[in-house]
Amino acid sequence: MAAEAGAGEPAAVLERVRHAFPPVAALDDVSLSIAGGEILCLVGPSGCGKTTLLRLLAGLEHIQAGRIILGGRPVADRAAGIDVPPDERGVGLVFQDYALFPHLTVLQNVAFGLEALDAKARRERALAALDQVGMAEKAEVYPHMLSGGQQQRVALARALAPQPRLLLLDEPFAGLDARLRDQVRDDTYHILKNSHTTCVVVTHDSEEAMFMADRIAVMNAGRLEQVGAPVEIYGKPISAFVARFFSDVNRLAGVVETGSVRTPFGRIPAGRAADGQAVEILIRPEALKIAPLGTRMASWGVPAPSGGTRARVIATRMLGRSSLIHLDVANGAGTEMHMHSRMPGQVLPPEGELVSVDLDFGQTFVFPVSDPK
Amino acid sequence: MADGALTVDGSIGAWARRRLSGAGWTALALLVAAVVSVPVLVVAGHVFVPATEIWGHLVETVLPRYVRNTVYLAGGVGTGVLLIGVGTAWLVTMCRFPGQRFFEWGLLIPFAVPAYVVAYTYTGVLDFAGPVQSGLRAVFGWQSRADYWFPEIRSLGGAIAMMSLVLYPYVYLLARAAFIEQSVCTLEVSRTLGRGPWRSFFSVALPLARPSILAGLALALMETLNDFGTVQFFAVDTFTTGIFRTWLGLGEPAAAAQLAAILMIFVLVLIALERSARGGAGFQHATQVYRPLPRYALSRGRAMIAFLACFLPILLGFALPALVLAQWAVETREWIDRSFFRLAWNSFLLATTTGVLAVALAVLLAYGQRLRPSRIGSAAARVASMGYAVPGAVIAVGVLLPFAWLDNQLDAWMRAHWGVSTGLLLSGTIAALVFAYLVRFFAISFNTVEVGLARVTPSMDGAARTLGLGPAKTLRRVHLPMIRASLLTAGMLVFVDVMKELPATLIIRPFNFDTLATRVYEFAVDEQLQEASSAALAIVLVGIFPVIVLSRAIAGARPGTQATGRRASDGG
Repeated sequence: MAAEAGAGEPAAVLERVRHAFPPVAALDDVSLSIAGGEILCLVGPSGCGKTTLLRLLAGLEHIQAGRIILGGRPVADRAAGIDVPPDERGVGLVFQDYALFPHLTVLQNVAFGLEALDAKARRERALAALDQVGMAEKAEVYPHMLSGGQQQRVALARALAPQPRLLLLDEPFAGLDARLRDQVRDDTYHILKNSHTTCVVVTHDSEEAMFMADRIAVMNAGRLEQVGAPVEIYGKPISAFVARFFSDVNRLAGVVETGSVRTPFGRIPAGRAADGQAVEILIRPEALKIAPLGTRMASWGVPAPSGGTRARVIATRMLGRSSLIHLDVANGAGTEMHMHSRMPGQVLPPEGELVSVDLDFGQTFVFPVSDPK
Repeated sequence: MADGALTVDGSIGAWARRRLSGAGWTALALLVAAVVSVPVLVVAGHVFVPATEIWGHLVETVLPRYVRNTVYLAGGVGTGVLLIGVGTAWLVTMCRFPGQRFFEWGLLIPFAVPAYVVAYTYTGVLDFAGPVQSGLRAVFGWQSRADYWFPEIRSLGGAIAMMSLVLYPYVYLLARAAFIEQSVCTLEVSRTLGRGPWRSFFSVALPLARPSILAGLALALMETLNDFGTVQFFAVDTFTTGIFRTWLGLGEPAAAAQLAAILMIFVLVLIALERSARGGAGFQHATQVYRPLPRYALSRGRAMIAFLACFLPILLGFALPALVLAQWAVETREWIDRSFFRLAWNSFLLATTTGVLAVALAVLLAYGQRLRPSRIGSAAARVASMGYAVPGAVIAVGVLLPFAWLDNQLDAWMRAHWGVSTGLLLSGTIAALVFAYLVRFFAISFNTVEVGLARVTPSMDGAARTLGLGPAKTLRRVHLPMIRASLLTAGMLVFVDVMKELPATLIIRPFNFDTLATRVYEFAVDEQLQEASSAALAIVLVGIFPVIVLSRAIAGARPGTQATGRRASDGG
């Protein structure tokens, strides 16, 4: 956010961009500004239009409506008849499948975009880019001899070598297996930050977005649902869709009465929903804090009693850094509701135990049911 | 007709100007398609030209015979290639017997031999003066033809046999591919449900492979309709011989074009058959499970029969004719003289020129379509690819009519304005011949190049473009190096087909210009079969190359084997 306020002119701006692959509308009136030097993550379910947005920025799709400005210069403007081809935009793109040229060596791949330089300078710059990603020793090797992680780094070096004013990454880690992915992601993050390049990263993985992003733009069905810093997106989701996209949630239904809505955990403020409106209440699992009944320290390691709601433990699972507790919560109307609580560390109450549940209002969200999603 | 072509070009220009960038490629592609489709359209247009007097004469006298012979020929060859092609494909795919691995590709070898070469060879062997009948006469003491019965090779039946022997590989190739692609599971299900191998074949494997088999049949029949050398030599009057006689003998181009137009109706039926068959081929894959085929081990007696069933087509379709030709070539001594080299050089020149042009145009069309996929573009490519189905004689007529018209117009204009007569600039030149070859064989190069390009993932284009290369440079530095093998294959396939081509060459070639194929034909017509042997042998030997490529391609095409390894090593 600081970057956006301080950087003066944004690196890239999309104004009212629409795009359709008839009969499907891929982008519906999208406006977005990307600040210089920031890493913006575009997230959303598959088919939400995020890759189309990326291809429009690169110039690989022709603009259908709206305007795209890079570094203060319009590169695509339907109304003005401007559509700068990709080779003149100075935008780098890392493809999901890396798209390394199989008939060229690693060094030739990286030098591919450096045609403007003479042979010596081209080689030096390409080697420097390879060095930056730690692949200088593989310069003379052909791409098919590299592992997936190495190919990804070469693709990154190739895109960075011409020093693009905007670097686009399309699901850059999707081709890697889970164990390798965390390491490559961390390396990539530091390479990108050190290069001070403005980046747009497309991903469908919310955790990856929070790991990489200075800001996150959440897309849904061709529209930008919410744009903001990860903390903001996670803590103040603007819609049920955004809240659900970033974690599992417990869902309750209710009706607003005098500005609040009743839950098994007491009344909670209804926000912008009007009285009489049907709402859904989304509760993150970590908002449900369980504690033993009574005053003593429970054998499963959680102190402090409280006047919370009663619930019965159905099952407990240790997930590593946290524990997942399946609960039956009495809802006051004589029936019970199944909910999940996520507690940090090892909190493993025995099955059948009655526990007390407290709700953290900060991670509980109320949205009118009329919300399309 | 030419007017029609011009308006097509005009609308292309207007359409191209409306695009923002990269439109040049599309416009060029459309131009190529328009030019290449002219001959076919010219001939098709003659369906509507009012009939002339000579046409009425033709209808009364020869047309019924042409139709009858063509239908019988197609029916006979169709039956022959189905029996040989499907039977051998099933044996080598599903059974285990001695030599089966060799037969897998060996059965393609007869592809190398043009039908007219087999026809000439067998005539030399089997006619009255040939070694077989002479031998029989010597053994049994017969004196004349009246003393015994021997099948007449120069007949409709003979033509059917000759063509079946060299055209069955079309059916074999596609049927085998279909059998291989079929999941073994479907066959095993059939077996577990109580059907034996034979009934499983007829109730499961054959219906599943039917689209591919029909597509192969359509291709074989297109070649049957194209044939001129065989039917002419055997005096079986079909449309091709009719077009030839009407054009060159009677000097009636319009009537020849009308015969060609009627032949086109047969061709359209075949194209429709092939298209619908290939359209259905997409539904073949019932499951995704592929395992090595569990081949039936055959008992000794059956293995012997299977061996013979696969060996005979190769023996009769290739080995025997090739040996006979080689022997003749040695006997005639002058088998490589100066005239042979001149012919070979002419053939080589035509084949190379056409091959290079066909590949270049195919790249242009396929890459234009890749840059800006459009329905018009793909329709244009399809129209431009029609030529493979159209007999060479028809294309020749369709090329010469507009060329003559252009020559006349140019000549008239030059005389009117400059007082000079240009005469015939295009007609009867090598340029006209190369153009006819391009029309006929463009589809071969286009399909090969298109398949190659399809293996280059679209993100390669995106990567090159975002790294600062324009479309033309991207083509040169990324696509062409990556699809080099496809380009070579495409060029080579066209090269070989041009070497073998006979009817179009005979009609269009410049005066006194001979190729290997026309020389073989001329010797044969003069009953000097042995003199034709060295040229015929050269054609056959060159024809082996595509067989090698095809056999390597089918070895690699089996799902579940080596596929990933190949993809990595070919570089996409």
